[in-house]
Amino acid sequence: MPRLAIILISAGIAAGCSAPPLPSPSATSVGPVPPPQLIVHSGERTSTLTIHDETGLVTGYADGAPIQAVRGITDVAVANVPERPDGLGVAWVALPCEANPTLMISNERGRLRMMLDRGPRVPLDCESMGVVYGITLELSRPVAAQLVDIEAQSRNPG
Amino acid sequence: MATPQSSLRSAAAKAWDVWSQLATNIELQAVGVDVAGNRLRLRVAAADLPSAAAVAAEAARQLSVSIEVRLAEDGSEEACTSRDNCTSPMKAGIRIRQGSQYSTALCTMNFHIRIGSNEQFLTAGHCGYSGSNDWYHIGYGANKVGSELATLYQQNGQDAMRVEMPDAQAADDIYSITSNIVGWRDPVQGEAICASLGNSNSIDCGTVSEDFHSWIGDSCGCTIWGANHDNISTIGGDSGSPISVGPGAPYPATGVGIHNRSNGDFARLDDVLDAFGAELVL
Repeated sequence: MPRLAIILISAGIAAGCSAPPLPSPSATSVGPVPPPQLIVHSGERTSTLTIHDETGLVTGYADGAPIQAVRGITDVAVANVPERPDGLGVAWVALPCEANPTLMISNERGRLRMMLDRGPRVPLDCESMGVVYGITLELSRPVAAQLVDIEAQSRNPG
Repeated sequence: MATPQSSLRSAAAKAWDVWSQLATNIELQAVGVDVAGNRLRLRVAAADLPSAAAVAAEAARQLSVSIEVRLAEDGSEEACTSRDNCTSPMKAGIRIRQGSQYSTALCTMNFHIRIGSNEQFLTAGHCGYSGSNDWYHIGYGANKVGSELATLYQQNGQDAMRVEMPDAQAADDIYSITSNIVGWRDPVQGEAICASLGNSNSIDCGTVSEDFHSWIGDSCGCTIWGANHDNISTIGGDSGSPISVGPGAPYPATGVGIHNRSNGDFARLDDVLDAFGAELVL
């Protein structure tokens, strides 16, 4: 089971037991605010996930996905947190060297669209074990997992 | 002392009559001669498998040969509907998970092996380098398939380990390849090979680029020996996938390797079997 621990939140927001809010631009900011990053765990392995949310729905996030998202996973999956309709778990399988993924969240014709880019392989090659990572997104309103289209892509080296 | 093949065939001919006298309520569906195992192989329906063991023991006594009882082929097909649901028997190329059936570490079951009379399966050694020693398959439920018994994943070793499994789940089948595995040998540079990729859920074919090759294992930081293939695309979870020559003349599905790394590094099956003192279940 993935450890449920928030290790790093960008823009100086302190970690806590509940999902923290996403950072928002302030009057003193210079330039664009970088997208939030979260270090996620799978056993002893870690991965740094960057989240691009174009919808404004995401209000927080935490390491670890509910078992409903992890169960039987072979690629990528999404599932609601039991008894929390505004909580959405996202899980994915990666190579150990695919440790800098990006999750892009957008709206598309009334549905939530998620694209998990596993990111570059660093180093270029590695052992082919499947490592399952997961996060839980906190949303500003309930979204049923059935209304989420999710897919993942890998960047196979040339 | 080995039973001559002619004696096994003679026993096989008598097995139907002996079985019918011993078990009127258990239908015998097939009788085969397992020369490599020096025994008869009898097949029954899945529901009869537990009670068939006692009958087989008495039949073995009367026929003076060793007998192995297996699931009938028809039952095998019905129980294998996906790489996450493939039992009775299991096949090389199905998905296995570490620590629980819904764990966060995913690999692929390689060929099934026999050491003495004990049947086990192979997979990549790095899959068991850290974490639980117990391995699961979703179709097998909450019961573990077995625990890691030994590994070659060490300095100047090979990226392979062996894991215990119920003997009745062992088979010579490869998922999505219709030909059974018929033998094993060293890979040869330039030859065509195919892999039944567990998490990719596909058969992908390429060539042996180097038939003897070494690299640094990511998990152990140690020198690992094996071979390398080209043009087989893999993803996370494909570690352990069975690599074979064929199917196709002249070598239908002859085992040559255990997939290890995303760049095509793989363990040489023949060397792994030698190191473990094992043979493939055929």
